[in-house]
Amino acid sequence: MSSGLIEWLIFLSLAMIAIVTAAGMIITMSMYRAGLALMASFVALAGLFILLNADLLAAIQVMMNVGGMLVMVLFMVMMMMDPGGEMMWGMKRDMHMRGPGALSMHMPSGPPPPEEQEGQLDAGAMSDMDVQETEVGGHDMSDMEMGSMTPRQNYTMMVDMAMSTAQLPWAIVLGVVSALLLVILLILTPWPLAGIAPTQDASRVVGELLLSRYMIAFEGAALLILAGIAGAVLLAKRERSRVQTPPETKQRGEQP
Amino acid sequence: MSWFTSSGGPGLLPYLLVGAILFGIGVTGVLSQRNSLMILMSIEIIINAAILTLVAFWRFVRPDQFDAQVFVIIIVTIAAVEMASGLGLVLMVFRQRGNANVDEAKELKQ
Repeated sequence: MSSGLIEWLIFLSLAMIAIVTAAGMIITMSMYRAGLALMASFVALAGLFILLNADLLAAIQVMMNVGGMLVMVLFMVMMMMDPGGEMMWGMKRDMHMRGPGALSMHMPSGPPPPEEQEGQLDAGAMSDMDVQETEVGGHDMSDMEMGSMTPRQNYTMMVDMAMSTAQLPWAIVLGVVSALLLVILLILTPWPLAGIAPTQDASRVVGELLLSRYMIAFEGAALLILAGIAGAVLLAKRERSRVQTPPETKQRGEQP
Repeated sequence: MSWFTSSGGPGLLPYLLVGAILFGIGVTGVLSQRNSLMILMSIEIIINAAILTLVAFWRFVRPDQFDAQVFVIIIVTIAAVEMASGLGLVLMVFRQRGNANVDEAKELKQ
């Protein structure tokens, strides 16, 4: 086996991992898994950097991007309603929705269906819910069987739970078209190739460049980080001025 | 076909193709996702596609000049700042509304 072939094999597997996990990030219903898939994509990209003789950038990629994504996953688990996606999955199974993963959970397009007759809806929904509760022990989403749901209920539930917007087909078309355009341009452009391999030590040269020719960019990045920290703290700070209505006045208003 | 292989291994074009595909995936995610955290993550994919393209150009076009690596370092820094301020915004929207869906935050004031 020649070294070129081995390089091709490593490249293909790393590229496959990077692309499949990036696509899986969008397709999976669990946001936790989406974060982990993105981290896997970053690590595969770091491998590609090593293959490109950019070992310094591979280290930076792992340290900064994967570490940053870890914080993101933490935030996700902390704040999202259903980070594991278990509720979504159960709903998708119960409603027999087609399509891979989260792509089937898109926002309904078009106007909402008309409201049904009150009595019939109530009776049907109530009896079905009773049956479901005795059977499954009151699991939240098991009530949402397709049979017991009117189109209106289905619509409002999808509006609540959808993971992607109603413009999903257009988004996919735009993504494919932009990627195809880029590929065509990349193939058609004659790139001026240098048939040499890098010989110098990257970290040494990059350090010298950062502190000589790119000094202003370096200091600007430092300033930007400072501004970013200040802005993030300011944005995420709990606002003291927004006082909610005290509970006693609310009660007083409701009682008469 | 010298841009397809370089001394037996993968050349410039395969790396650029990977970057283009990742960019398309990121664009799809940004345009279709409903949760603002997912949008931030898709933006990260786009930035990483750009970084991969830059590094591939460095390796196969000017491997003797290390300016591209400096650019990559600065891009990574800016991406981190963007992520931090984006998370701050998401946190603020989440506090105000109880979820972080972008289509429900059409009017930014309460």
